[in-house]
Amino acid sequence: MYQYLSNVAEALNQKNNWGIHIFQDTMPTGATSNTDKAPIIIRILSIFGGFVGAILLAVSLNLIFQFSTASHFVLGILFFIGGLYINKKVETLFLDTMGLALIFIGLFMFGYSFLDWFDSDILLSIVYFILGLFILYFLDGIVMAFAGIGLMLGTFAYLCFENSTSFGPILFTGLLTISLYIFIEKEYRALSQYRQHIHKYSAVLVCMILAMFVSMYVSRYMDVDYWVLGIAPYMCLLLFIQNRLTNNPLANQYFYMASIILLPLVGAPGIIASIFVLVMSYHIQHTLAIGLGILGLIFFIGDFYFNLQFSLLIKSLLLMASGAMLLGMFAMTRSRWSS
Amino acid sequence: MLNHLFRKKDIVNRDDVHLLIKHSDMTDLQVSDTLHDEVYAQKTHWSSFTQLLLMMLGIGLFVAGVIFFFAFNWHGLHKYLKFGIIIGLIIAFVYSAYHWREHTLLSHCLLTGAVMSIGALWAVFGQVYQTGANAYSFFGAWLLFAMAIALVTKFEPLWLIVVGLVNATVGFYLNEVDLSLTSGNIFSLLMGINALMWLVMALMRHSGKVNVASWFLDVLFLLVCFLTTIGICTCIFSNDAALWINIIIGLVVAGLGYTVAFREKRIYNLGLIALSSVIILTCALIDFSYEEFNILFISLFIIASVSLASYLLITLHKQWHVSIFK
Repeated sequence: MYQYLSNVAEALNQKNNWGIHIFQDTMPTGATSNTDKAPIIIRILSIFGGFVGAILLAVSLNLIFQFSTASHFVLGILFFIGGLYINKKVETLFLDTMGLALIFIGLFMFGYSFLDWFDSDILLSIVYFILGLFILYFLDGIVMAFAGIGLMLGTFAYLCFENSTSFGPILFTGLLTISLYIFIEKEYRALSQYRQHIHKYSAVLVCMILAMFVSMYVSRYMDVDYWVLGIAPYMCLLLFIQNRLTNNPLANQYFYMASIILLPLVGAPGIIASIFVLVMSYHIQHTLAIGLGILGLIFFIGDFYFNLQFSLLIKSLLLMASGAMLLGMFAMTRSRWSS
Repeated sequence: MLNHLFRKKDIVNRDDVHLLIKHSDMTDLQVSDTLHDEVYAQKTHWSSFTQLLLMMLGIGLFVAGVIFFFAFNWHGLHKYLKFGIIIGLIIAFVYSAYHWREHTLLSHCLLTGAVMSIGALWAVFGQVYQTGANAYSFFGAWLLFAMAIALVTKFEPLWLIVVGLVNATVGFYLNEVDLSLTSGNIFSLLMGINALMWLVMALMRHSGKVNVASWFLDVLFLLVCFLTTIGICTCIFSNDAALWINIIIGLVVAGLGYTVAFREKRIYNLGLIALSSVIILTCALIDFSYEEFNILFISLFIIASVSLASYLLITLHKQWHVSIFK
């Protein structure tokens, strides 16, 4: 691995006239990293086995021993510590997943007894948020990073959504969109400031995208002015376009054109959020995020037309008109770029 | 167009940059420059991406609009006008595909649009002449035309549509017409048909005469494993007599998947077989008893079997893909 990285660094040094040095002492010996990543199917198998196995284990123990509230509390903490121990000591993907499942069972049992004693879901959410931060920062592994950021976003979303006012969902989706924009646009800063956590970047990115999509969807059923949710992705998308157009002689024209074309999509926040994700992740060439963006786009377009309060005839005409408009734009860009 | 969609590795890719940042003294500026110069999309990629996105969305939305338009069954429109619109649309799609035949992807997407419009044509035919409520005849007629175009184009997404139509035709026929079969038997038939389609495609790829994309085979094998798992589990819980037939088909599928996996050094098939096996055996154990100690045994079984399977698969993966870092 050292030899390979040295060659890569040498090639970069020659190309850019830099002086990058590789630290041999921080590097794991033998074959690691890129090609040793477990294929996705083994990850799925491990995650399935880890979660289902651990959950069934907890259920069966609960059924056999009939735990009290205090036992839930003690066992919850024990499971949590057991999960942490497995994560720190073992580097097998499956056992890592088992550890994660134990942590979650521990959190669940702890939360159950906590609610029973203190009866405060807000306090519990804050505790969970801090524990999520702890998992994200101190524990190793991609699955752990995903779980940590998921717990943080989940509890923050709960706090924002729980009192059913329109401000909470707007605050959550807005903050999440802006964070996602900064996280992608300033990727180099995130990577170089948290060098030891660099392998967690993709997990955090994917979790943030999923959280944004879920919050966009859930907000539809809350008491929210739905179009307000589209403002943050719209503004971020325009900012991104403006950044990409610097040094372009036609920057202003392209920018105004993009702002006008994208403006009607503010009324369909899910669609504009998906376009935002798709465009940003394409920029950084992140395949998984691109896939999520495409799936989000398909889902939210379907959802938008399904929920339109028009007859099927009007909906079909609208669909055809949108399709024809996009095909027209395709023909225009094709002739312009090929010339 | 697809060739210019993603950045090819020149000096480094994203994973290499991550390793370099972790194990070197790269500065913020160097990280930023490396990402922009070596990883991020460039002008040519953006033009391909924009065109592809506009084309796919344009064709997709337009065809969806056409389907909904005829699903509305507008009585104000004369039947011949309906046929005229839809046939005109099919001709337009086919003509455009022929006109842009040098742009393979565009031409294939247009033909996919034509196939979807053929479905709309058959739906209108059914509406106008009241051909009956049987969905299988509609899907069957659509399948014949879709298959003809799919054979000519050799475009995998179109083949996926054909696979979907085959399953819909058989499924609806067995549900609407031949009511003698149990749900276990229906699954046996669907498992067999899909396994056969997967085998034919795998053999075609192996012979090298037809270029079948590996992702298409993966999707087909996923479908086969999904049907096998659901089929066997349904039989287990409903005490269906078709259980043994399904188990035999499942074993044949597993054997074939195993052979293909070892021949092409693909861990994917083995992983799916392992996942299906664990799910099926878990269902069998759950069906045996719901008692606490049985649940405890099941949890231990899952932990042990998945540990063993993932250990063996990772070992095999390491053997097959010798690391370039060694």
